[in-house]
Amino acid sequence: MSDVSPEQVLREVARAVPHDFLENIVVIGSLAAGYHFFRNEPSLQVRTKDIDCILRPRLVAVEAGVAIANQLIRMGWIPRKEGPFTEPGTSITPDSELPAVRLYPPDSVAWFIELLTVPRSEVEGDSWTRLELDSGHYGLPCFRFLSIAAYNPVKTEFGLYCARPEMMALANLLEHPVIGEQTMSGLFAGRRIKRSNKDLGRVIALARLSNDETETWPAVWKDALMACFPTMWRELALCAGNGLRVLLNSHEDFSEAFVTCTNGLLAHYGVTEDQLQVTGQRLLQDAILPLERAAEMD
Amino acid sequence: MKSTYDTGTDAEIGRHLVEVKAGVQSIRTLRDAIINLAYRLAESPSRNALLILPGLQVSQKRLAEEQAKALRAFRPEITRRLHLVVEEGDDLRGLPAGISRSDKQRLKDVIKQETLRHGERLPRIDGYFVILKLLLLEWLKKKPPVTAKWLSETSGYSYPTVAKAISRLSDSIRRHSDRRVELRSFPRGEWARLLAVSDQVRSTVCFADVSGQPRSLESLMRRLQELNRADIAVGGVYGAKHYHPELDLVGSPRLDLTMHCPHGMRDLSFVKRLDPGLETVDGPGRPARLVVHVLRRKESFFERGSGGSLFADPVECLLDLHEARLEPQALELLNMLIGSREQTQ
Repeated sequence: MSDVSPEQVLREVARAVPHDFLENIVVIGSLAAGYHFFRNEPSLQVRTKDIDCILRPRLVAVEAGVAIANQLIRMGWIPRKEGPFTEPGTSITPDSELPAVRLYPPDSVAWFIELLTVPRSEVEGDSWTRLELDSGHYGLPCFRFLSIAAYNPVKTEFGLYCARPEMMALANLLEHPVIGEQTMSGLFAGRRIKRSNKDLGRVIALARLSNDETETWPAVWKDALMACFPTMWRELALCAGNGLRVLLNSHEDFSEAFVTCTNGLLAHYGVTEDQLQVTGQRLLQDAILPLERAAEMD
Repeated sequence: MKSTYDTGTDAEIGRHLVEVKAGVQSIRTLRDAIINLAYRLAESPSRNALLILPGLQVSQKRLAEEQAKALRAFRPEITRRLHLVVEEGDDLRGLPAGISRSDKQRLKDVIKQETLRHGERLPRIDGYFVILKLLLLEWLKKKPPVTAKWLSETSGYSYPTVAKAISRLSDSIRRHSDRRVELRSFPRGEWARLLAVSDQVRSTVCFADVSGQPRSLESLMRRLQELNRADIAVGGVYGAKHYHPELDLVGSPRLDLTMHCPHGMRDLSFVKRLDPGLETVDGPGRPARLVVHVLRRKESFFERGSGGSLFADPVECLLDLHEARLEPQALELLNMLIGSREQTQ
C-alpha cells in the first residue's frame, strides 16, 4: 500500500476519464474517506492502493465502463496483472472468469482504479457483467450493498462523486453480519487479517473520524435502506449491528480490526485499542440501536 | 417466574437460571459470579444460566477476556449453557437465541428489582450535614422557619438526630416561640466544616474520558435529558448559571450531577448510557469529565429549568463549585444568593 493524496488522485482520474461519464462515477473506500476527512489538511495522505469507482446508475454502467476503460487504456493506463484472471477474456470466457478492470495510471504503480457497479434491484446478489473493450473482454463486478455505499454521494470539485462516510459504514456493516473466515490477500503489519475484521474496523474508523456526527447516521441510514431495499429494509436494519457486536466482544478479532485502522485511516491519530473499543461502543449506542428501534417501530 | 432459593439464583425464567450482578467494578466479582453459576449448571444439566451485568463498570475487552478464560477453564457442556448478558441502551446483549419477547420483559423486570435491591449500598454518613444543608437551603431561599418534624420528614432522619443537629448548630440557630427554627445568618464556620468533608458526605465519584475523544458536556447533558430521570439533576457550573446567569465563567471543565438516593442505594449504570467512554477515576491524576454526587435526604428539591433540564439546589451547586476548586465562582454565587435573599426582605 502507498500513501496517496486523495485530491491528487481524484484530479488525475477526473482528467483522464471521458467527461460525459464523470457524473456516473462514485469513488468509495479509503480515498473517499480521505477526501471527506482530510481535504482541508493536505499533509494527511491515505494509505491505499485500490481506488474503487462505482458506476451508476446501473442502466448506464456498461456503457460508461466500456467508454472509461477504453479511453484510459488508449491513454496508456496499464492493466494490473495480479489475481487468478489477469488476461482479458474472449466471447467464450465465462463471465465469472473475466478479469475486473483494474488500471494503473501511466506513470505510477502506487495505486490503480477498479470499476464496479450497483445491483439492478434489491434482490440481485453479487454478480459479474461483461464489458467488451477494444482490448478484450473484462468483467464489471457488482456487490449487493454497493447501492448503499453509492447512496446520495457528495459531488467533488473535480466533477466525480465520493461516497459518504456513513453510507460506506452501513454498506460494510451489512456486508458482514458475522465475522467470516475469509482473509485478506495481503498482510497488515505482518499479520494475516480477516476481511470482516478489516471492513468492520473501517466502520469504527469512520465513526471515530466522524465523532459526534454519528448521531445523525440512523436517520440517513434508514432513508438509504428504504430507498435501496424497499421490501427488506427492516430485516437488514435489524441485523446491521450483528457483526460489529461480535467484533467488539472478540478480543482476537478486535485486535485485527485495530491493526487495520492504525495502518489505514487512523494511521496519523495515535489511537489506542481501548480508545477504539469505546468508539465502537458509542457507535452501537448512537447509531445501531436507534436504527434497530426505528425498524422495530416502523 | 419463581423465586429461586432452591437454585441459589435471583430468578428462574423458563429453563434459565437468572443471576443479576449490578454495577460490577472488579474482575474478581465477575469471576466469582461466573464460578458460582458454573457450579449451579453442573448441578442442573437441563438448565441454562444467564449472568446479567447491568451497569457493568468493566470494559468490554476485559469481559471478553474473562469469558475466554471461562471457556478454557470449564467443560464445554457448562460454558455453552452459561451466557453473560450486558445492557445495551434499553436492550440486552448476549442473550441466547429463542428467548421470547415476554421472557425478555420478565428479565428486565428482574433486573430492575435486583438493581434496586442490590444496587450499591452507600456508607452511612453524619445526618448533621444533611440537616445543615437543608437549613442552609431554606435560609438562602428566605423560607419561613421550619419545625423539627418538617426537618425529620424532609431529611429522612429521626427526630433525635434532628434535635442533636439543631443543638450542635445552637449559635447559628434562631428558635421561635412556636418551636420552629431557622438559621440566624450564613453559618460560615459550619459551612467550612461541610466543605472539608463534602466529597465524603456526598459520596462523590469522578469519571474521566478514556476515549481520547471526549464528548462535549452539552452532549452529556442532552443525553441525560433523554434518559428522563427524575432522580438525577445537573449542578456545578451549569446549575450555578441556572441560578446566576451572569456567573463569571465561560464554559465548564466538567459536568457535575446530583443523584437523589434517599434509600442509601446508588446505581451508576446510567453513566455508561451517557457515554461508554467514561470510567471511574480515583484521586487527582486525570481530570474528571463527569462527577456524580449523592443527595441523601428524602426530598430532592430539584428545580426544572426552562429547557427541561433538572437542576440541583443552590447549596449543592455551591458545594460542586468548591469541590471543582472554582473558589471565586463559588464566592460569587454565594454573594449573589445572599444578595437576592436580602432584596426580598
